[in-house]
Amino acid sequence: MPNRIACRKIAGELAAYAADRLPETARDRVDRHLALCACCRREVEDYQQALALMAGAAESRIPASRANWQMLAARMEAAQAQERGGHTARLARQRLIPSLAGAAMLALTALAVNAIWHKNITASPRPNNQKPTHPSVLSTDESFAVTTGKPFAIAPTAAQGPALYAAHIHPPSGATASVQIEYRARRAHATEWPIAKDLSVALLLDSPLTQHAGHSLARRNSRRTQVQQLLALAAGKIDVIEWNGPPRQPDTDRFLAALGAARQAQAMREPSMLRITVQATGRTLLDSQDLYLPTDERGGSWIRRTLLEQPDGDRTVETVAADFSHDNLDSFFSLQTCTPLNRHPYGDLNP
Amino acid sequence: MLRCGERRLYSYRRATLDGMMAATSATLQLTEEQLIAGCRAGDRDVLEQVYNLYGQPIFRHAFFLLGHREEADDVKQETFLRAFQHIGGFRRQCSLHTWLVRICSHLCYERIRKRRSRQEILCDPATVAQYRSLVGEAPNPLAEWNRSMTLETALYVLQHLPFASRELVVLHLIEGRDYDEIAAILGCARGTAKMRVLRATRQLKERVLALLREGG
Repeated sequence: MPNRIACRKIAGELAAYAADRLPETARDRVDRHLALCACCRREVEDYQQALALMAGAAESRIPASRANWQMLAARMEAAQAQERGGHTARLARQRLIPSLAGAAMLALTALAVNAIWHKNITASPRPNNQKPTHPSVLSTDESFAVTTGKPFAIAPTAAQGPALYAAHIHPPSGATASVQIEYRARRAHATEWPIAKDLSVALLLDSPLTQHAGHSLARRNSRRTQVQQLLALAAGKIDVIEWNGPPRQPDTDRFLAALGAARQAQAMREPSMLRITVQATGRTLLDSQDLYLPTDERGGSWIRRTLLEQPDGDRTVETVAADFSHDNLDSFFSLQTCTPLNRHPYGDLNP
Repeated sequence: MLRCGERRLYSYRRATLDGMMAATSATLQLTEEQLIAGCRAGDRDVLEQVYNLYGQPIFRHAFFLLGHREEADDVKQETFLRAFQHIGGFRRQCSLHTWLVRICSHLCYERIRKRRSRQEILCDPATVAQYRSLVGEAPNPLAEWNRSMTLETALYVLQHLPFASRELVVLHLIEGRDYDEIAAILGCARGTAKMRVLRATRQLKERVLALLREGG
């Protein structure tokens, strides 16, 4: 039977004993107690197990770091160049921050209006003759100087959910992005996710702010806004985006099919998981700021960003993944439910 | 500007913390003073040497705290960027390495604080895939496999500890720092550091036991 008082006295020293960090006298005292107390012996064994795990981890080879001095030197030079900009940069920043803040407020307002609008639409269908007032994130963000241009042949697909349209954003910087949608579903009580569909959309998104040299704030916000636009597009929040190259109708269809399948699973209450991965490639150096992408009505996000260095050096790849489990899929769909437009958005421009 | 001989003196590349601790204190002191002076003067060679000298331990520290390689890379770069920018404010109350670890820990904490509003992803598939590839290249694949599994398990357990305990476990049990060093990093008394380490070890034991119960 363990001696409780003695056990309590010795308890604080067991961790150090297991780690072999006790002085000789204290060690002898613990030894004597352990010889009599099985309970404390088990405790020491538990400690030793935990310590052995950490010792094993300390000896393990961890993955090599991908960051190197050249990358840091480039960042330091950029920071120094920014400081050298001095008065001009400060003036630019002073001008830019209010404009970005204003743009962000406008975008948030648009999102809120959009969410409310979609909910209302779901509750009460719009009359056919009423023109939709589909708010767009891009059109509210004046700092991007978006002009609508000749659309590509991406016709809105009625009854399939969000439609993707075209616009020109000047000047193009060559930044590209792709949305990869991985959808998995499984039967209830199954332990694996047997069905996997790789449904991807390739997009090009761009912003004049990307061209704004030497201003990390502008670049960072630009990058963040770009990815937000991309997710907004995925969520049906945005109907204006530039497409570079041939029309991407098949991709659009696959994208919509993925959303449709996920929605169907949601309706059937099947356990499902939707992963949206945004991969952006740009010329600008990426900052180490986290991206906070609003993916539900409360503004929370399930975003993980990984920063990868491309083999060709000066280009960087940014990956943003959002996982939507069965629990939060509902909130995702409540945001992205989108009634298709009944008219071509550029009908006025291209009669 | 450093002379060639002095550069050679700094050029010891000690990838691990153990190697660094093994250096004689006189050499380290001299080196550190010169390194700090070079950093303050903005000498690119010295900055690069500091980066090469402490980069791997800082990355390792961030990796165990965050459990994610890309994030650890980010934190490593940010640590050196901030350190080089604010080297003028370094008061030499601790070693340069300790100061860097403090910066790194703060940055890791900021990262984890930001994560709280998100769904925390505890297992990085890319990192796990790399363990697997490391195993394939190893001369003794079975032993390497065991080690990689140990690392995965350790990372899993660490990610389930509160940040303060995680930091202490990493500092004491993985990096092998003594209580004096931990006290310098945490900015507390030696006795406090010791007490916190013991408490963190107890929490670690509980987590490992919980993990074993889950598994079995």
